[in-house]
Amino acid sequence: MKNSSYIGMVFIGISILLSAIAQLLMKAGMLVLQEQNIVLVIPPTFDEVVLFIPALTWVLGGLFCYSVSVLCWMRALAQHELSLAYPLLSLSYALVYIGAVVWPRLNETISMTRIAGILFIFLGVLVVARTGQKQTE
Amino acid sequence: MDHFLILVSIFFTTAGQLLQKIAATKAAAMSPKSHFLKRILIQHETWWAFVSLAVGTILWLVVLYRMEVSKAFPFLSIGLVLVILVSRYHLKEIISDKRWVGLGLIGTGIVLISQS
Repeated sequence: MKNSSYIGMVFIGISILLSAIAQLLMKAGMLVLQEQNIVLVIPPTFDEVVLFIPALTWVLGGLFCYSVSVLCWMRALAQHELSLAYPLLSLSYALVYIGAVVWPRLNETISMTRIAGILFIFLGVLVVARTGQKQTE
Repeated sequence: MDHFLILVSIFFTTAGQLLQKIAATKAAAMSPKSHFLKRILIQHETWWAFVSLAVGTILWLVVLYRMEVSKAFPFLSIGLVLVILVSRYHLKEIISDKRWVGLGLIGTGIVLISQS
């Protein structure tokens, strides 16, 4: 029982990490589109579709990480309550922020307001999840 | 417009997550003879979850095209607020004072990030 719970935590960890990486890769793909100065029109012409390939590669990489993350998440949910899993998931906000600022390709702005906002959300998710735990016990 | 896109994207993503939870619970309750992945994939909620997540993801890509990911991503916590409010007003569950405090903290965080 103890061992299976440990494995569940590993799945939560992998899921959080991959979900953050997925966001960063998808943003990288959208940045490529912006640099190419392509306007998103639906439906796109064939020439436009070819131009999409570099951006699409980043996005597909992101979506792949996202799908694996979803599967790990579902595997973890079978073992753990949402009240434990959800606050841990909000760690990915911090990971995405750090990644977006540190990764030169994205080079996003450092903002104290944004960091404060992420801390508030994390605290809020923690409080919400803790009350949930007491109700189900 | 950006904030409206975020909200619609979150709606689909949250619906997808709820469907995932239903599928995972059902699969966990089944006989452990077959592999967990197989038990997950035969739940029709799993497939609706994927459809809902796909729609949410495409809208999310449009959001990422228009704004910084470090600003957009924390807005996803609105999903948690939605689930709690739905359970309060639709399922008539009682929300404890502590939980309102938590929702207030999340709301404060979202307002801060939208101002950044």
